[in-house]
Amino acid sequence: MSLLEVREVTKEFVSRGDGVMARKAVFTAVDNVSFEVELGETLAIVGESGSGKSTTARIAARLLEPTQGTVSFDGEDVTRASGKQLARFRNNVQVVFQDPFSSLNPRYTVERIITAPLTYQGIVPAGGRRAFAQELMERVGLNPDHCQRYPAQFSGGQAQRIGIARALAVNPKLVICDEAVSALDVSIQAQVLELLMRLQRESGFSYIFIAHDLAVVRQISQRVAVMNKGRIVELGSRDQVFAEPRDDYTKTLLAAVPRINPEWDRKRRLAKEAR
Amino acid sequence: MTDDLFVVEDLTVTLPTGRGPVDVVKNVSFTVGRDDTLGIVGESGSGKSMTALAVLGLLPRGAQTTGSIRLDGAELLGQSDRELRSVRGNLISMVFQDPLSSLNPYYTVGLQIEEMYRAHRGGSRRAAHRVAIEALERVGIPDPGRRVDHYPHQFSGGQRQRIMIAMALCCSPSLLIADEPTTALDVTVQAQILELLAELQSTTGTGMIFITHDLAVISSIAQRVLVMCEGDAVEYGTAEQVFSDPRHDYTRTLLDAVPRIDDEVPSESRAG
Repeated sequence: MSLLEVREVTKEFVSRGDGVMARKAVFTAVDNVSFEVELGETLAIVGESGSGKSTTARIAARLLEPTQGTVSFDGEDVTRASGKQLARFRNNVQVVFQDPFSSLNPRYTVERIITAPLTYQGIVPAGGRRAFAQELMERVGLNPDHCQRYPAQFSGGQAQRIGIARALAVNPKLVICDEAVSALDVSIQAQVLELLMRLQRESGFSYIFIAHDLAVVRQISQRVAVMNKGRIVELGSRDQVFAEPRDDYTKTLLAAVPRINPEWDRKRRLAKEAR
Repeated sequence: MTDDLFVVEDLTVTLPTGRGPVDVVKNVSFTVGRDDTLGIVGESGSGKSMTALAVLGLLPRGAQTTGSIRLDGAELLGQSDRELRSVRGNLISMVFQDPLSSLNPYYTVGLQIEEMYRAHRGGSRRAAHRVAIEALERVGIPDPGRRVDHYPHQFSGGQRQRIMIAMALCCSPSLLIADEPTTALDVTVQAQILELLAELQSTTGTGMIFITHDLAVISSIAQRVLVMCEGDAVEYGTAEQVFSDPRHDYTRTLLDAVPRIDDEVPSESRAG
């Protein structure tokens, strides 16, 4: 039994069509998508804008209800979960969003932000909130002395670390990262990716890592699902998808990624090793 | 006097802030030749966009600029707003990151290209209309004769960026400044736009300054590279030299941080 099982999930959005007298139009954002996530692994979902990757993530996180299909967690059907069952699910599944600043309440201190999931779950940490927040801040590489500061007093990379600390507060089994490093500068991005991988090694939880950047996905994932127009067109191990892509769209996508001139790059690395 | 099309010497930009004046660009020098693409790369806050805005005289109010900016030997720094207006869009054009916010949603794309053209070149509306259709055709908009009368929202993101490029090139400028022109685009669309820019450049001989945070993009389009960090030009050389033999620690760190898509990934460091 897998940790998370998404079975034949479809999500339709109803919108008004073009024009004044238009009929309702149905847009299928996610079309019959199935996958599972094992405990401790990282499944990446990649795709371009409009591919349905974020909608899929939101359904997996139960932030959206699917039009059809089921989502099971730990063998339990949570597709229409509510009340206590949903609360239990949220205790196990947390989300890290793209823009750290818009997902952190600017009027709350870091301590209050990080311990908010505990408040919602009615958990009182042994040793008190302050100590709990400070310990988590240390784990994600933030200075614990800054626990009374506000989000605006942190840089983008630091703010994303706050979001990660908040996700880890309830000790989840699954963390869903929706473009979690996309807004960060490349050197900061590398550090946050390192952090995400270290935290997984330490705690053994799973990631669903949503991203448009294939090179980033390659760093962090064990399995990769490629989405296009609402469907998963290819799902396989990271090495298979990147080295021997089977689907034409995957091939197009991989070919389009800009690369640093490999000859120059090789020269630089040889020189670096020689130093 | 060299043959260089565009020369920037000791450019310093100072912005007033609540905590006193801050140098956001410090003593930056570079040249761009005809047919040449200079890539300016840096992370957020490095001063790369401020450098471009300084070139066009579009800095925020209160900004102070010193140094020298010369196009074809003519000094641009210190020129009046009116003089600069005849330079912008005419001799030096710019393409920005977000085409939707650069295009006016109330006017057809054709009208916007015509307006740009006539502001600098004059002539009849009919002639300008023909120029607009030709410009759209050149950047690969299908059925340009019909599409010229469409509004910005009727185009995809990639097509809108093509329209911005058409508008930037309609007066055949000597220099094109592209500030993160592909950053908001999907990777497959980005590849098409980069190809288009390179192709247009080789046919028109326009010099280009390409500003981006993405080193891989720079590697595929620029002949020369300027690396900026906190307002300083920390490295300046040919693309080959900067990528294969970087001199500055910051460039090295940056190159190490870029995730690669092709090389061997040591699997033990990845799989938890």
